[in-house]
Amino acid sequence: MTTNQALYQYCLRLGDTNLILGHRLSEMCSRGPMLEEDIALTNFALDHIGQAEALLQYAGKLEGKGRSEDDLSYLRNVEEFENFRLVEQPNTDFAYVIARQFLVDVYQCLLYQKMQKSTDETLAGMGSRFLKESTYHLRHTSGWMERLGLGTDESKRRIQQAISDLWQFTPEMLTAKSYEKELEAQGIIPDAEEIALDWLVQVVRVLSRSGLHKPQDVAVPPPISHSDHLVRMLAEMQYLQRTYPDARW
Amino acid sequence: MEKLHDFQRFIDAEEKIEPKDWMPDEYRAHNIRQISQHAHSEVIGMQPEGNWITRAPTLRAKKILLAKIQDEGGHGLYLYSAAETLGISRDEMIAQLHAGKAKYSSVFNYPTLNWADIGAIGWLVDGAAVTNQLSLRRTSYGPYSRAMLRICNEESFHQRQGYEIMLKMAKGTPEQKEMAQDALNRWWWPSLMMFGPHDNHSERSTKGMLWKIKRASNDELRQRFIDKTVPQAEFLGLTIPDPKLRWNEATGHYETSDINWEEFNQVIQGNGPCNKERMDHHKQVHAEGAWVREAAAAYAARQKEQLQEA
Amino acid sequence: MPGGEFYRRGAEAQKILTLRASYYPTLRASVPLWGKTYSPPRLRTSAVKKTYSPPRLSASAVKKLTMVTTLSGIEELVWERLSLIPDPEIPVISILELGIVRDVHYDGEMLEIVITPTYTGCPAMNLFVAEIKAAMHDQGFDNLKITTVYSPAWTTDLIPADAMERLKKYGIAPPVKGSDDPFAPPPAIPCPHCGSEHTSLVSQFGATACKSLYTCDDCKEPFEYFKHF
Repeated sequence: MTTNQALYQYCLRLGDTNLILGHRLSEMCSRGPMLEEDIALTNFALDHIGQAEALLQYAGKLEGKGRSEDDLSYLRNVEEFENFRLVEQPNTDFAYVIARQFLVDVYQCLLYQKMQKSTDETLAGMGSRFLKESTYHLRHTSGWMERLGLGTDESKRRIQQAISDLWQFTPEMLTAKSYEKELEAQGIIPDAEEIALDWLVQVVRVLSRSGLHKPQDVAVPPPISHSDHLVRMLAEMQYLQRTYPDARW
Repeated sequence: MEKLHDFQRFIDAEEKIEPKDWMPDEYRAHNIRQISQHAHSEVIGMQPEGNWITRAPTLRAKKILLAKIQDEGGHGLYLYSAAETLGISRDEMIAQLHAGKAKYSSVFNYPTLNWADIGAIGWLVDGAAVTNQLSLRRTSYGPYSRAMLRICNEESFHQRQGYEIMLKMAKGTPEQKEMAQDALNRWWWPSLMMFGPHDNHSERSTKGMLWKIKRASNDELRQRFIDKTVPQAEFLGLTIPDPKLRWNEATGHYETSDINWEEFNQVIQGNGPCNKERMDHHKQVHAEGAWVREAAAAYAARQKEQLQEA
Repeated sequence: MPGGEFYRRGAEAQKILTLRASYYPTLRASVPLWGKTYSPPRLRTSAVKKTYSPPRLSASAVKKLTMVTTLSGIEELVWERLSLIPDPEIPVISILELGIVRDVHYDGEMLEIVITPTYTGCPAMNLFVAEIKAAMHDQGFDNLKITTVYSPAWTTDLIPADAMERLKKYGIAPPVKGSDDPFAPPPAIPCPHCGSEHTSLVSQFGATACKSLYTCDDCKEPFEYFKHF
């Protein structure tokens, strides 16, 4: 794999993650527990779709086959999607939405912080831009972790449940793919192990401040594949583009 | 009586009434009713459009729609806050909505059946709303008038974006054009209904004009909207679903058929295609979110306690 | 042919100035999609008139610039023209004051304008780009390239003080720099209506990603706060 190909894969991984998370958050529109949260979650969705757009546009450029960010979003099949499994998990309740978002926010803040120093100018630029947005997200979700963790018995039970259920998907997010090693060595992308260490420290800090406990790590993470959820999400997302291939939107 | 007289003089001088000023109870109630209805409309309007975020056909279209819906939520919140300055809480306003005592714009009781509907809502529904809001920038209650000033700019931006979708569809494939025409057919009349019944001279509407809460009559605003929208439809190459539509050279206005007032009344009374769906959705989400609001309240109370102890 | 080149550039500069003289940008003027028959609602209230006068060149500056035929002179004219494009949602500040234009290059053939998004998903960016393109086409620049850069990221720190003042008069509280610590309490935001510092946050996220909603505890006014980025 050439550097360009590896970087293309990496941009897909980050881009798809933002795209699918943005999709999940879009589903929450008009379903927030209060209007403020409706607005916040819609705002988050917008930020993630915007980040996806930038990353997938760059991916298309790296691939060199003339595919646009829309081609990549709307015309790939489920097995070609590289998103973290964590972000395709459903909006079971508000606690799941917050827990999923919090786990990703901590990761993205660390990632983008380090990405600013990338030797690749485009990635560095995106890192500095995205970091500002992710910082706002993290401030918001860590606030909710605390509110739910220390709120009522019910909210504590729900948020603990959500964190515990979603924990099994975090190793996949934190582990570098084989093609990333070379990119790390060249200083193009941040070191995944460093991020993983910092991530754990920060997550545990917020959990303990919120009266929650870190779930047990799974001894051997299960083999990772996409879920049925993603198939359904893509069917919905891609429906217009697939149904009317000649149309321009 | 003296107070009322001064109040009227103040209003006649185009001065703004501010939250802490004295005002007749009826003026207060009228504003609460109008501003909360406006807020509820923004919030309920998130449902038909929110439907299509996950299906938006390009990332750019998705972003525009998300931003628009965020805008609407934000305007809803802004308006709830403006109504709160009159001494009513958001909880009370939501309870009134759920009890059917407060209304929201009937136009949101229609379904969104294809992607062009998102264009038509922006172009026609937001267009009608902006026409109304432009006149409300001069409304006599200060916080509402200032809110309208800023909201208008954002909503005319929505209207342009909606029109842009319509333009793409109308100039697209035959199927796309068909969707655009279909959307126009379904949204034209509901948009005209947004301006309300023909001007009667009921006591309420007379008071509204007298106190300068309302600044233009329903029919006047509706005509303004028709006059500017018909040429836009022509530019799109679409047909307004009204066989009687014609330009009257003498008056300088378009003439149209009358609105189907039977349908209008049915939708207002809760028998529109989606009334039940919209309200059920709002109630269900509100009920499901109760545990979150309780947790937030409990947490805030504890924080306050700790602050006092320290 | 150097002479021809020289003449052409001079003519281009001339065009820019003629247009500027007759032109205050409105949304209608630059957006062809509306067709000719329609002019969208414009803000004409006294409130806006009072607080906002669009930047214009003085007569002597216009005269001086008419002579300009150098590349950098033309770039300067482009900057001037950009300063006349208002933010579509907050018409009291220009897109230049907002700080989204990073650079202007003109090599005699192609005009390149480098912009940076306010935030990644900002849908107004498409509109900014459309406005810039329309304005530049009007000025005779048909060979136009708009480049987007992300770094250094956009910040509200570069909004000039007088633009901040106009924002406030328009009813939006301008950005206040707070602590860099994401967990620190946010700074007090003074009410743009009465100036009181007794204000409460209603929602961190407002109608647009760049704004939060507050209410004033003294005069009760709900108001938007342009977030610090």
